[in-house]
Amino acid sequence: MSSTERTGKCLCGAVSFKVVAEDEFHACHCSVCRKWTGSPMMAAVCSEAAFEGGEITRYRSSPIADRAFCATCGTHLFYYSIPADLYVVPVGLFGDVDGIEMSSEIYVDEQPSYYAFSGDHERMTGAEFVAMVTAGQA
Amino acid sequence: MSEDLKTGQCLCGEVRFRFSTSAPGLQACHCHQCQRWTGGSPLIGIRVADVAIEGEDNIARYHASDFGERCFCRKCGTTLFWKMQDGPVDFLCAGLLDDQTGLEMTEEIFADRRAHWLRPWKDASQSTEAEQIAKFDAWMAGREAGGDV
Repeated sequence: MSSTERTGKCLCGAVSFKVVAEDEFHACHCSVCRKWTGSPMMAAVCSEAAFEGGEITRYRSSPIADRAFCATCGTHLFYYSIPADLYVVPVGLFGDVDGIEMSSEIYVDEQPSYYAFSGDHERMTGAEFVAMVTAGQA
Repeated sequence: MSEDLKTGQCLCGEVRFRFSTSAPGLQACHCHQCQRWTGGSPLIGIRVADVAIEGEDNIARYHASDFGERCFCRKCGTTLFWKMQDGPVDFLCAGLLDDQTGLEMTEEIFADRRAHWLRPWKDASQSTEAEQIAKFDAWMAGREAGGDV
């Protein structure tokens, strides 16, 4: 999997960041992501992530994850997996999105009927995604 | 036109809504501010009326322009709604809705700003940034003239 160093900032500019993000991202249709963002969450796994400036609020949305946002403008900054010590950053924050493509959709069993993505890429149910992640950690 | 009462809430449950809708139509806004605010998706919302809000103290408000107000839950960060700064809450993010059955996308705005990884909704109307700004300018001019807008 190729990765690229990317920079970005939130809507108000208080928080900026530098990450090394995979060049492929997933769209998550789970009900928690959709409630949080109002739409599917499109985010890339980052091997490195450094945030600076501004006030960042972390919300523990489950025993295994934090969801963080800018306290000033509400922009969603990252999903953090506690067991994997991994940042997943929304691609809409990147200043440059050249060369980044959607490679998979996850939790398709929770997807509502009012949207659908075209394209020939992987689509996984929540159970399939969890099984994949669990296998990767074993 | 039939109206049915709907409910919704943020992720942590601190902010809760009851409201009515007159149509199941959803709108997707692809403007750069919305993309950055949501993190890459368009802002997808539904037109609402008669909105009752519980937990209003937990709503944080951010002004990214001199007319719009972007509101989110200060505890969990859930994106709640966009409104005119001096207007009522008339648009709620679709993700808040407890019941998401029967919703259909009917309108895309700022469609020329759509992220390259998305395709148009087949049956939704499309308008560009320029068209939307012209519409908005006309609306603002009418309002400043004291007209019925």
